[in-house]
Amino acid sequence: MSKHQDKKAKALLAMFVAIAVLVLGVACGGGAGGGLDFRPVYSSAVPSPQHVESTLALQKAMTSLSTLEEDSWDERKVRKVLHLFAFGSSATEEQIQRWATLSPQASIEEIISFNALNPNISPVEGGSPYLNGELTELSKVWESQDTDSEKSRFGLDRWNAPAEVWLRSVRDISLNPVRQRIGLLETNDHMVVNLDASVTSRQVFRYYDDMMTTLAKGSDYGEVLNKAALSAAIATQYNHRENRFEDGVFKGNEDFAREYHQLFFGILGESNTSQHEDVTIRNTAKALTDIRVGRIEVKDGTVLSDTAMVGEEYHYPSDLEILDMPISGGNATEKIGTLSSEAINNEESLRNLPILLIKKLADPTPSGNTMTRLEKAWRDLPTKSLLAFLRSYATSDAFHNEERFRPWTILERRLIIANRLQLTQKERDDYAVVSSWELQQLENGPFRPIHDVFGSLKGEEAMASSRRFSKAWENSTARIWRYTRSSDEKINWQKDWGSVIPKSEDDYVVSDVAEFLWKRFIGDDTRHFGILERSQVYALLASGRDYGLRYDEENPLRSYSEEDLSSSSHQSFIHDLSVSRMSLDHEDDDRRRWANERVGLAIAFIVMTPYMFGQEG
Amino acid sequence: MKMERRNFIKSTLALGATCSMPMSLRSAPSDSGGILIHLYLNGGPDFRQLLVPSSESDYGRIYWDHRYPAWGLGSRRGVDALEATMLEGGTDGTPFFIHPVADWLQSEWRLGNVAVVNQVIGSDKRNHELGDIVMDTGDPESSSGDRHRSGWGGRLAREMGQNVVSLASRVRQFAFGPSDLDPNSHDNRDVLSIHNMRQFGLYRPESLETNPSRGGYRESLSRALDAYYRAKISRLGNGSPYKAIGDHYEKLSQQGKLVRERLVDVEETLPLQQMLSGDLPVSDRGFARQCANFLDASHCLDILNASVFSMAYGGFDTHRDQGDRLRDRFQDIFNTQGPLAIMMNTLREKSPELRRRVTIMISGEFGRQLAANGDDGTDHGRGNSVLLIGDGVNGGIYGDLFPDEEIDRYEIRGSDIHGVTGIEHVAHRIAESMAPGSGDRIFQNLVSERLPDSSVLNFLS
Repeated sequence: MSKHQDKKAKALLAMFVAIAVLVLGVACGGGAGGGLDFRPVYSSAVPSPQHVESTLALQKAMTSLSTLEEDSWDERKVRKVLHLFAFGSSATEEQIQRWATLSPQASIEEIISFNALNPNISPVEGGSPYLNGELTELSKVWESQDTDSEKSRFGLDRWNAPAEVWLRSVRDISLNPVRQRIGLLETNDHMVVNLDASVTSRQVFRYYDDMMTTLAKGSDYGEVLNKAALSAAIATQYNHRENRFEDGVFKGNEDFAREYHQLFFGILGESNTSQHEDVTIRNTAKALTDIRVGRIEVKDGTVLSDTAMVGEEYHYPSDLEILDMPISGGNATEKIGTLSSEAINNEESLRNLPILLIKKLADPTPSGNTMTRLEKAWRDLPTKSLLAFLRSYATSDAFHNEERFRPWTILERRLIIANRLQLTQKERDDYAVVSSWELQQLENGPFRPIHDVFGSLKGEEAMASSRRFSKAWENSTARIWRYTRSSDEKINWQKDWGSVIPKSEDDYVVSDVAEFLWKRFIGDDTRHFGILERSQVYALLASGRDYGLRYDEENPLRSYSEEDLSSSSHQSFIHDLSVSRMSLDHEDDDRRRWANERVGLAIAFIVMTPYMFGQEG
Repeated sequence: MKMERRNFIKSTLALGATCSMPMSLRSAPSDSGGILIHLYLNGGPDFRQLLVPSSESDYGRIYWDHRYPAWGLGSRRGVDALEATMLEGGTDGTPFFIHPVADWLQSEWRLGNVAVVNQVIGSDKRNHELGDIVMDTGDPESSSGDRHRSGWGGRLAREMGQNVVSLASRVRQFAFGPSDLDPNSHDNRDVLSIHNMRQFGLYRPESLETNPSRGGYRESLSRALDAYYRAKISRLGNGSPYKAIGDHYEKLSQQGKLVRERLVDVEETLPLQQMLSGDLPVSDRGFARQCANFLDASHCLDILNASVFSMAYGGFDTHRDQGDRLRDRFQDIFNTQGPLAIMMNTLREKSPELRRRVTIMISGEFGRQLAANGDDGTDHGRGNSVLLIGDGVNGGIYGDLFPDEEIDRYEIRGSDIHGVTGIEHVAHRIAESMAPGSGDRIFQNLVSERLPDSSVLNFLS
C-alpha cells in the first residue's frame, strides 16, 4: 500500500467512526423535535465530484464583460488572476507560461473552478491525498494525523478549527486555492459567519462546505443564498432560531430579516423605505419562524447541531407579503425558498449584488462605467452562475483595468507571500509562516471578522493602518529568518530555489533572478521594478548585504535617490552587481545555502516595497 | 428645552486641581485649543437604556411595560427592584435615572460636564453601513456607495493643519481627510493610526546605534528598507495608490522615534495596565488599550500635532440579550472603574489643564426601537441621543429626552425615536468651537429642516 493510499485508508476509518458518532448523536439527542429534518446525508467518504461544465455559453450572454483579445492575454494577466483568485497559488512558471499561451477563456476555465480538487491548478504526482477536499474531511484527516489527536487544533469542535483548517488548506499544494478564495469571500465578507458570535466550529465547517459544494455544482446563485439563509450557522448567529409565532403573536428579532435582504441579496428598499421597513422586513422575520437548531452529542459533551430543522408548530401559518408579493409555504424552508428565488431577480438585487461582490473581491472603488457593465452582465445571465460571472470578469478589461486598485488585506498579503515563498509541501507543513494567532492579533483572522456580520478587515483598512505596516516591516527585519531559512538538519530539509528559478546560459544571474522574484511575488511585470528597487535587490542577491553598505562602507546609512543612482559610478556599480552569479546549484552545501539565504533576503525586501500591499489592474 | 448647569462646581473643582498639580506631571504640549475624542459605539447603542425614565411618570410606565425584557427581566414585576438600583440623574426638568453601573457618568453629570443632545438623526434608514457613513462624513446626503469619502474629523483636522490620531483597531472613515485630487475620495496623510503608543515606530536593530556598518541580515534589511523608503516617498505622489504606504513610513520613522523617546520617562497608568494584563477585569481590553494610548498621546500632542482623536467600542447591535451586553459595555465606558473614567480621572489628577480641553463625543450609527423585540433585545431604529462629556461642556439635556408623542407609539411595532436634529449640525457646532469659521467648509450639506431649534446646540461653553 502506498503512503497516499495508507493515508486515505486511515482517513476513511476516522471518518466512518465520526459518522457513526454523528448519527448516534442525532438519534439520541437531536433535540429540536417535530418538523422536517433536511439534514443532508454526510458524504465526505464520497470522492469529490468534479464539475467540469463549461460556462462558455453563459459567459457569451454577458456581452458587457466581453473577453480580452487573445493577443493581449499574457503572463502578467495570468499572474494577476492567480494573485487575486488563488492567493498567488503554487503554480509553477511553466504553468503560468502555458496559461499565457492559451486563449483567455481556456486559461480561465482551467484556473477558476470551485471544485475542491482542481488538478489543473494544483497538479500532484500520484493524485491528491484527499477524497473530496472539503473542510470537514480535511479537519478529520489532519486531526487523525496529529500525534495527540485529542488536542488537535484541527478537530471539528475545537474553538478555532475552521480557521486552522482553512489556512492550511490554502497552503496545501494539492488543494484548490480558488475554492478557498471564493469560500472566504462568501463566508467572511458576504454571507458572514462569525465564531465570535455564538456560531460553533462544527456549524462553520458545515456552512462552508455546503456553500462551496452548491457553488461548485454551478447552481443558481439564489439557491446558494437560500441554503446559507436556512443554515444552522446563520440561524445561530442571528438567533432567529428563537423566532416563533405563538398565541397569535410574533416573538423574535428582525436582525436577519433585514440582513437577508441587505447583506445577502443587496436589497435595501431604496424605492420605498417604509414598505421595506414596515412590511418586507417584518414579514421576513415571520417567515423565519420555527427554525430549530438542537444540540447533538459529540465526544466532549454536546454542541449546537450543524444542521437546522424547520417546524410548523411555531411557524407563521399564512401567506406573507414580502418584496411586494405574496409568499406562501408551510414552513420556513418553503417560504424562504420561494422568497430567495424571487429575491435573486429583484430589481435592486440585480443592480446591487454583482457590484457588492466585485467590490469585496477585486475592486473596492469601481468606476461608474465598470459598475454599469457589471450590472448589465449579471442581468444578462440567464442562470445566475457565480462561476460564469467571475470567469467573465477575470478575462475582461473590467478586471484588467488600470483604474482598478485592490489593496491587500493582511491575510491576503501573508498568504500570497507564503504560497510563493514555500516551495514544497514539507516546507509548508513544517514551517507555518501564516499563523491564525498572529492574524487574530492583527484582527484579520478567518471566521472572526472585525466587522462582525459586515465582514472581515478590508484591504483599504489594512492599507490605512500604520500598525499593520509596521508589523510587515518587523517581519522583513526582526523576523528575517522567515524568509532566509534555508536548511534544517533535524528534518533533513534544504531550501532549493535553484529548482524553480530558471537559469540563464547555464548560470543564475543576479539580474534575472531578481526579475524572476519580482514577478513571482508582486504578481506583475517589472513596470515598478525601478532603479531604487533593483539596486537593493541586486546587492542583496549578489552579496547578502544592502546597497548602501556595499557601495560605501563608511557611509552605510545613506539613502540614494534615483538621480544619485543614475550617475556613472552608481550605474557601473549596479551593473557589476547585476551580472554576478549565484551559487544556487553549487555542490558545496554551505555555498548553496548562502545563495538560498540571499534569495530570502531579496524576497524580504521585495515584499516590503509598496507594490506588495495591493494589486493594480 | 431643559438645561442644567453646574458651572460653579465645575470651576471650583478645576481650580483646586490646578493648584495641587505638581509641575513635573504637566503635559508637554502648551497649546490651549480644544481636543475632541470621538468615541463611536458600533452597532447602534441604545441610550434609552442608559438614561431611563422613572416608572412613576407617564412615559416611564409605558417604557417599562414594553422594555423590561430588554433589561433581562422575566416579567414587569421586576422593574421596581431594578429601579431601586438605578442612579439618580436629572431631578429638575425631565427627571431620569442613570443605568446602575454608570456611576462615573453620574458624577460627571453632577459636575455639569455631561450634555445629552436628543433626537439626533444621521441616516433616515435603519441600516448600519449607511448609518456609519452619514455619522462619519457628517453628510446626510451620503449614499451607501460613499465609503471612500472623507470624514468630518479628517476635514476638521485638515482645517486646523493637524493630524487625526486613530486609536481604534481600524481607522474609521471619520478620521480620513479629503483627497486633493478627488472631492469624493479621501487620503490618509493626516491620519496616525496607533495601536500601542509605546511601540509606535519601525523596528530597527539596536546594534545599528553602535555600529551602523554591522553586516547581519537584520541590519542589512533595516538599512536597505530605510534607505529605499527615504528615496521612494517622494516618488509616491498624490496620484499613486501606494501613497499611503509612503505616508506610513514617514510617520512611523519620524514621529515614532520621538514618541518613544518622550514616553520613556512617563509612567504608565497602573489600573489600565492591569486591565491589559488581565489582573483587573474589563470587558474589552482593546478599549483599555485605546484609553492607555490616549493618556500616552496626551504627553506627545506636540509631536503628534493632533487635536482630534478617534476611538471606538463595538458590540452595540443588541438584538438579543441586551441587558447583559449593555451592562458589560456601559461598565467599561461609564463606570468609575472603567477604562474611560480612569483615563479622564488620571488626566484630571495629572494634567488638569489638558483635561479641561478634552471633550468626548459619544455616538453610534442610529438608535434603537422604542419597545423590546421578542428576543430580549431591541431592533434598529433611527433617532438617538449624542452624549458630550468634558469640562467645557454646558451640562444638561438638549431636546426632548422622553418625548410625550412617543407614548402612544410604543404599541406600534417598529416605532423608533424621531430624528429632529441632524448630526451634521451637532458636529458643526463642535468644529466651530475648535476651528472657528471652519464649520461651513467642513459641512456642506446643512439644511435648516434638520435644525428646527438651534438652541439644542448650546451644549458647549
